[in-house]
Amino acid sequence: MKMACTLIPLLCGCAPYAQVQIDLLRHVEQGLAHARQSLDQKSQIIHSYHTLRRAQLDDAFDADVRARESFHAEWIIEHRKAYAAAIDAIHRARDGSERAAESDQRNLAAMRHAIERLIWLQSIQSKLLAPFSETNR
Amino acid sequence: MNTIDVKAHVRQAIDSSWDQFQRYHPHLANVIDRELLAEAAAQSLGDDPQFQDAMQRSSGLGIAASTLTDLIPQLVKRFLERLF
Repeated sequence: MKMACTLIPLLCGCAPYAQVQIDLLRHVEQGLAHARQSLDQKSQIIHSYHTLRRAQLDDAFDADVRARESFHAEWIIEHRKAYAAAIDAIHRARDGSERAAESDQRNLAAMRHAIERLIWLQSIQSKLLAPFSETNR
Repeated sequence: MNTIDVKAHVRQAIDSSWDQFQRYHPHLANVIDRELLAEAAAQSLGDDPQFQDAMQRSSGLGIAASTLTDLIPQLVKRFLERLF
């Protein structure tokens, strides 16, 4: 009896508390959605940057060739090697950025999943405790 | 010898030959990101079987750190000659 007297008031107060937690988790969920949008935008900017760098390299390659009056085999080989090395460097950087972006997206998805599970657990708690809350009113 | 040291040697090697490269390929030199290039070259060098072999052999023979420090620029130079 003593136990019931102690538990019932406590349980009556738990249902609104669970709902507050759910509301907070919904805010976190919205925050994660904003973070995902922001990361998507950053990925787009980085992709555009690498595309631009590649275009600049192509233009510079052509400009050097056009500026030459005569061509020596050594110059052509050196020019081709430097161009290829620079493109390889851009590809490596782009791949690194893409891997980092994919990792960010996976982390966000894991967080979103964890929050969904928490909301689900809180909603069960809220439903179970709802009758106690109603009897209290 | 860690990756940072190798990258520093690669950067140094690129910088030392940059003026000459810039003279003959001015437009390309103007848009190439040397930092990015050094990063990529250091990564490629780390994957290079010849470089790995040299590092393993030097480590197996117990070569002193100072000798290894002398060896790295030579390996970097040889590698960059293939690259450039």
